[in-house]
Amino acid sequence: MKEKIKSEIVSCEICGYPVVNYESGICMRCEKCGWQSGGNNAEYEVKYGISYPMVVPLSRAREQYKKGKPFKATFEDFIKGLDFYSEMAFTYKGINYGVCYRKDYSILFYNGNKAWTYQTKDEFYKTANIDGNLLKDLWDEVQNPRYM
Amino acid sequence: MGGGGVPSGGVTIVKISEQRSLKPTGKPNSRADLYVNGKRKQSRWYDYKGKAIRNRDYFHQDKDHTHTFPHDHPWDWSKIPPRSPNGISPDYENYPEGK
Repeated sequence: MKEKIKSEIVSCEICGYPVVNYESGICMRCEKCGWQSGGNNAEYEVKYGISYPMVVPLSRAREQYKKGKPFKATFEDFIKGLDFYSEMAFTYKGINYGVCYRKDYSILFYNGNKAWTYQTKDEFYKTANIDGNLLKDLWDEVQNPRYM
Repeated sequence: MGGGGVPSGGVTIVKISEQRSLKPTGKPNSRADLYVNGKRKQSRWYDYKGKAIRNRDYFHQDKDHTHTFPHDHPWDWSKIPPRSPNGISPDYENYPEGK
């Protein structure tokens, strides 16, 4: 059943550099700017407010690239990513954290030692914290917000 | 393959040693398998339109031990979130692992 997957050369959505896009499998990655894409991120931005797998929406990623900044999703983008994929992760001070919807759509927030539950997405957004510091306030220090 | 089954569109096997992701869309009626450092991490099935219809997660972050592996996540693109938060027991009959 294994057969060769088609590939084509396309332009990076961010910088226009040629990128190999496989019909199936791994998301493409631009060797010039580092952007990764799993499909039509313009459409994902309109429909879901995100990109895949980078999370940060395409239009803001283009602005970040023009300014020479690294691609990074905001906390609000991260929440939208949760609404798309239902399981997210990020790293803070070398510790990995997970965030996922439960079956009743409450939110589980956890690291290797502890877990916290929030009844709603809004509650998570407003009150989730690490050692008493609100997640939305320390987001600049968060690394690699991503889909799990 | 909207209801599952052996992927008539073939199986794509991806072997990597870094953090990368499978595409949410792919070849219609196919499956993609992601291996990280030789260990299968995830499989994703695509329907007749090439949209993800099911994930099977073999491992990921789970330090609170709330997940059982492997588990499946159905996708329904008419819903928010499209990828169901409900990790369910693998449906090996409709979504077999073999080639």
